[in-house]
Amino acid sequence: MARMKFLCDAERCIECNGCVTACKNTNEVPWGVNRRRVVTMNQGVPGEKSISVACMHCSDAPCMAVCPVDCFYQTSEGVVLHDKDMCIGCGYCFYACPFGAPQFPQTGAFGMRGKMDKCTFCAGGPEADGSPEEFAKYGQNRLAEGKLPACAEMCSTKALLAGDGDVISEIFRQRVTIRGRGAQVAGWDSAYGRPEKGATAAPSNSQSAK
Amino acid sequence: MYKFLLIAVSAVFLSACSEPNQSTMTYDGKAYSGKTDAQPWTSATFQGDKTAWDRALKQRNGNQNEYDRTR
Repeated sequence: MARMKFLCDAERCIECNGCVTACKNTNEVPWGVNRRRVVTMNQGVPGEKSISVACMHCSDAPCMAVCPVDCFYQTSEGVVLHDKDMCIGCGYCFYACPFGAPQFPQTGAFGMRGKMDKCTFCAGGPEADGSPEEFAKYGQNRLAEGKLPACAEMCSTKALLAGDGDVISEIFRQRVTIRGRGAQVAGWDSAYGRPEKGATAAPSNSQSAK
Repeated sequence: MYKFLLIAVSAVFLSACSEPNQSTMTYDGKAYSGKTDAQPWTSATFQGDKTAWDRALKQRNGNQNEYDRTR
């Protein structure tokens, strides 16, 4: 298995915020924290485009690099997670993240900044898988149940894809080839060219794009 | 002697071309100082069967491609 990644297809996203709702509901995310959000460019202008953004689970994550207490780790699937028991809520990761993924819940009557909270790729955290402690701190561990993140699985237009990076990029490549547009973006050839070996869009009866 | 000197000087200059790891964390989390996380296939659902977990994830991955259902 390659590294787990998210991919949002701007041609398909209809800004329904179903992914945001699914994330909030599945993980019982506290009030004021948005692990995922939908960003719209050129809002109100014909041809506006929306994309769903959360932690991108970077391969060389800047949040991990700057954390003063080394509370981040990366799983063997490439998911970037952190230990909330170690987090001091300093907010340094928020400055480092290019996507604004780290979120800080307000705690206490005077709005003290709580421990960092972010998208876990529905992979929980360093507590026992499926335990109440893990759910309370990090939300549901769907990956340990053999499921993909709730945001992607709930996406009605399948704009948001999640999973094995090779497979979802192959799905996206096939889509763009069929619909005939969307390949004009910079870096298309390097990012969505056919992988040298391995990945297919589906495990069985997949059809290659014409 | 001249050849040896050339190799030594080249090695010194080429050492500047190396790319040291700029991340404070290693891939397997060696610099991470928190609790150890279990692998997802060791959960109660899969009980250590990585093949079954891989198969389940692969199936879910493929289900995201609706062209397989419509064409």
